[in-house]
Amino acid sequence: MSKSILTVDDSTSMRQMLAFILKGAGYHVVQAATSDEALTHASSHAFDMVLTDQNMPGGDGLDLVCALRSLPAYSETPIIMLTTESSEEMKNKGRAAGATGWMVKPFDPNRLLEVVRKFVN
Amino acid sequence: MLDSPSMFDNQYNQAQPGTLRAIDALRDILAGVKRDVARSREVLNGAFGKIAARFARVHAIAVAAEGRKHGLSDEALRALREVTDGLTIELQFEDSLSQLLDHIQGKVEAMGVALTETRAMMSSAPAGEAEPVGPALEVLARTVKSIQMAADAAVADRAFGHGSVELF
Repeated sequence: MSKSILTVDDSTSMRQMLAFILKGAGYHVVQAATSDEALTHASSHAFDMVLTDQNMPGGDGLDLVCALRSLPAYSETPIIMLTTESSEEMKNKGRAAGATGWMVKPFDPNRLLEVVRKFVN
Repeated sequence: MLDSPSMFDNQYNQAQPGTLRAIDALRDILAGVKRDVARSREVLNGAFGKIAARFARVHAIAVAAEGRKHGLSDEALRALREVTDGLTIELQFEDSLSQLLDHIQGKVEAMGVALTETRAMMSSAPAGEAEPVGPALEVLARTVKSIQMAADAAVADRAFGHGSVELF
């Protein structure tokens, strides 16, 4: 059974790009456009990894990381922030919230897959 | 929709006609910019939708060809993979552009609110009394400062680190 990854981004194009790459590499991908939608998916299925944007309407990525970390099923799950934000201040906030890593957009598909394989396989 | 200047003709006669007309003209310009941004977003979404659909087909062909490993030489497969990888990075322009449009829209809305507040202050002065210029200018200065700070942060966020990865 293929590993499952939850991608969270309000941008349709980013969700599509992520789905192309991850599905092409054999992963099962579930997409969410908002934090709330992500939490709904996360509470009904234990994903092997979460990739989330930071700036989203209705709730940002850091809040989502905190909310996921409060769920027992997600205490150890790799959560990577995938965002245009690259300041040290934001990365520190990500680290404090419990994120596993920080990747800056636009991302390289091969680099993304390296990171995913490192944690998921 | 912003109010038409013609609705305020009586106020023009009572208080600061030149200033109020200028404010209303600026609000009309901002309303136009807001429409332009909305139209730009529609055009962007429409164009990207078509490009993404074509890219999905190319990507699916590349994945299928790599899986079967026949019909295409290794060199051709490598070239196809390079094209799809490059397109995956370049097509992320839509996300960046969409965020920039969000920033523009936010700035336009902030300026609109500031102009509405300024207009209310200017038109509240009874005929014959001095214009409340000081408080109105304070509102505008505060708005300019907050927009500049937001713009600086947005530029700084995009200046460095594209594609970088940091694992904690």
